[in-house]
Amino acid sequence: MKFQTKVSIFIVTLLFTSSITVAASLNPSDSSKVKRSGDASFSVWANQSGNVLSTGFLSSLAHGGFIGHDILDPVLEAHEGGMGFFGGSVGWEKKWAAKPFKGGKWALCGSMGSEILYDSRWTSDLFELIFYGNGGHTGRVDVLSGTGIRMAEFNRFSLGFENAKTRQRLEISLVQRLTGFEWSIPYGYFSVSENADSLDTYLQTEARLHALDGPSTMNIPFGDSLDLPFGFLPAYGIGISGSLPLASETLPIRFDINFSDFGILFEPQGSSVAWFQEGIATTGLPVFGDSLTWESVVEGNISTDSLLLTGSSVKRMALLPYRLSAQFIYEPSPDVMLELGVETGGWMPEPLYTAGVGWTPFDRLAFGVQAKYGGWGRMRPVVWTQFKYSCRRMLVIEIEDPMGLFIGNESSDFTYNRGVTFRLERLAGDGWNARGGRFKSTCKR
Amino acid sequence: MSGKIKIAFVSILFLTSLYSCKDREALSWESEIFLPLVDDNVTWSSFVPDSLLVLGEGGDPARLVYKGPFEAFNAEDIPVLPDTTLLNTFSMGNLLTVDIPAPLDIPFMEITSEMQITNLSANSGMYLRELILNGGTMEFSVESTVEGVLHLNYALTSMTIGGEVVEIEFNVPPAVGGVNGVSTVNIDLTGAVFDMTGEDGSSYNSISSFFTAMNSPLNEDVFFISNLDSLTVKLEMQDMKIDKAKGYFGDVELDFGTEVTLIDTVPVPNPILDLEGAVAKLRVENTIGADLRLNFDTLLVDGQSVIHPTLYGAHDIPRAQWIDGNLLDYTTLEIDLGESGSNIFDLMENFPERFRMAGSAQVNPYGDISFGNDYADTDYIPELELEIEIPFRMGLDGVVLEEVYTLDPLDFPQFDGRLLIDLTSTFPVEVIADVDYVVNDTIGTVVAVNTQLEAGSSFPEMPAHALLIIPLNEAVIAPGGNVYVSLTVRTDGAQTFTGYENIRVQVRIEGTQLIEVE
Repeated sequence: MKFQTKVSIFIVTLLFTSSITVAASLNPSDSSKVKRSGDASFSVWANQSGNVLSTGFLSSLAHGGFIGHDILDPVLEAHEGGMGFFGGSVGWEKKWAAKPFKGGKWALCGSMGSEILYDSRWTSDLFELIFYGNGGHTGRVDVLSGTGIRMAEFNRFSLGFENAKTRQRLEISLVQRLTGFEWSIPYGYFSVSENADSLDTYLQTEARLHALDGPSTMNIPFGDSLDLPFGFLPAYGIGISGSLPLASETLPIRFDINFSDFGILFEPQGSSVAWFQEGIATTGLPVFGDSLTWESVVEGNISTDSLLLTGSSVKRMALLPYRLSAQFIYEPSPDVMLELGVETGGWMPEPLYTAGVGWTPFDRLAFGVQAKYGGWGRMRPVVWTQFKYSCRRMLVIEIEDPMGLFIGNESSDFTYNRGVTFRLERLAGDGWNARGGRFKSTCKR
Repeated sequence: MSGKIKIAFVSILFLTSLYSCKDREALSWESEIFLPLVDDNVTWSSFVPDSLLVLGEGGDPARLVYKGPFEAFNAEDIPVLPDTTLLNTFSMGNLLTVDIPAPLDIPFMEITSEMQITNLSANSGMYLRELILNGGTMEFSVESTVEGVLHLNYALTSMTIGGEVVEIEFNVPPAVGGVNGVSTVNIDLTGAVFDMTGEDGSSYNSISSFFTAMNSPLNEDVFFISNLDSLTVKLEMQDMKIDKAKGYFGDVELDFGTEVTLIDTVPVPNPILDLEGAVAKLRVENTIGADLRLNFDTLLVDGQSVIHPTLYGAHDIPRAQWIDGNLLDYTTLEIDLGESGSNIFDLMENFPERFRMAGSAQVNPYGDISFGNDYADTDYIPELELEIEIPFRMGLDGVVLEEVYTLDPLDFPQFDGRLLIDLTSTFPVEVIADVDYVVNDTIGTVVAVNTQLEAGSSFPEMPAHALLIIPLNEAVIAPGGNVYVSLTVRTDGAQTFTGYENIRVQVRIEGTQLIEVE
């Protein structure tokens, strides 16, 4: 175990132990003892969002064949703000809260889970250069800056405390990034003058593979092993997570603030790094010829005026993929709920806005619809249902842009997102205050 | 793992593999490219060095101006100092009737001497009174017959370096078993100043010295000096380079033969120059303090002799005036090579390339009339300068430019497009452009196109433009090839060129390719 990992675990343990000590010393002021455990849930999800790559376009890419301007034009026009985004996450998470200490208000809580995050973004100019060429827009500077792609797998384990009355929750998280990669063009442009009498291009790009050089063997379930061309290079970080629900005692409104993984990731040295820089400008010089050719630019085997650095990274610190959300909930009647929310972080390029309504027609069943806008994607619908199969337990299914799930079907051609979330929830028991919203009551047993 | 789970797992893998093996057509799309390949600008500067070309303003003709040295003289021609060896032997003589012990703390030999440099010239009568060197070495060696270590102090009283008299202190080992003791010291003469007028101040070629010899503290035993003992002092001065010299430089004759190249590549085909207003001059500046007499034997323009009424024969150029090392005034001789009776402009009509000149220069043709006050500074060597000025008013007929542009093999699948060649000219003459694109395929396919550019103008600027289009497809562009561009001009009579004329050649590729991704 690396020194850094030991330190991280030590800090988590120290905070955890001291927090327990503080919590145990609290003298509950409420005479009613809370003897049941709090909320718990187990979630599995997979989602993908994008703002320009429609399902129809992706199907066309998958099916192959010639793609003409009738397919490409809508995609190009969809680049609002000059950027295209595509990203999402796949993962699972388990959250829980134990019985309060000695029947008091504070309960030990925690969560653990894994998540694969992926994020890609590109400029409309780059898309146009790839799929249209430069013939249609000479004289314009094609901006490549801001293009990039990254993906990483994060595992997290958190411990903390939750107040049974206020439902405030605070956790210390130990986050592991098992592996990942990132590539970006911090600065780049391509320009051919209007009369095609000069070319000017500059490209600065950086790639990092958070893995070790050389093959390794990974043990997989069922006792087998898998030979990998690289070795894992986990990085560890520490952060804080929690929630801060605020409820009005007189009005049926609530305000929830949730945050997770606010902290630092300590990257060890050893990631493979490649850094490339190239600048080409022709003003009266032949692009073709013995020295510098367009072909050699395309193939990347130019040696003049270019700089390619490869090697291993040094230690550095990076931000964890934090998430911060705020949600406003209004329940005009016991069976209707209105919600507005905003969420940022999680590698999303833009804030994600949510507006929705929920309805509980039956005791055990609730439905809801939402409209989401932002994140990686454009406006899309979300439907959810909640089935309470016992007093304390229920199943929540949430489907984002349902039509997007019918990949290959024409009905999904104009969708840009898709996602499914399954969540098994155990409601807090007697003595815990209800959090409300999404009809999260408590079981009075 | 239970059997059912294994079966389900394998089934999923199998179905997945079946799906992935489904026939899939390669993904393809068209990409429209528009790229510059060549952007070349042909100007007068492409052929005539900028240093020679003076552009014409306001529509006046440009001028080809050459003003440069013939490099007939150089520093080596100024008084040369040969390698010199000065030898002096000092003996105890008959002063000692008996052998005496070498005294301690008291010099037993103090000698002042003057050595004469006698090999400065054979018959020219040259002599020097003052000398400043910028290079050279002096090896100073002493050979002793005394059987003890001698401590010598040697001073060259007529030589200073950095304002200080050169003084050398060293020990000479004893003579042992009949073998004399020898000691050698080397001195760098860079910056050395010699006063060669001797003790009385009226001599020349003289180097004064003073030295003392005494018992060295290194001797452990007493040793004796006899009347047979002697010291031999040798000064060897080598590779001396004069910076400044004063004296009489002798009656010397120097031959010179030199050539200048105006333009080694004639940029224009079959030019006929209108040389009205042309200038051709020969200029000589005598910057040394000695009289010169120049005798020109030969002046050739591109190998043909120039006939000139006054050039050939003796030209006396009086000496420059130097005072305290400062050049006060110098004399200039200017000969108009184009004066009446000269045929030089006839020889220059076809754009001259080379001028050759030969002759001789005589220093001090009237003898030592300055009484030893000739002065030379190697930073001021006499210059023989040629000045040529030719207005760009000429007639042309022929190919003015032949250029080859290489296109590398390109992987543009199913390319369908064109090679566009733009020609923009401000030359005030018609230009015929022939373009051949020779494909690097097995049969060497040639696509030939041509066009004629109308006369343009550089003042006021009114370019003429022509566009050549060569259709391209994948078969033509894939192997690459060479684009041969040939520009031909023809004028009716002499035409004025301002020097601002240019022909811009732009080669672009435009078309669509099909990109396929499996």
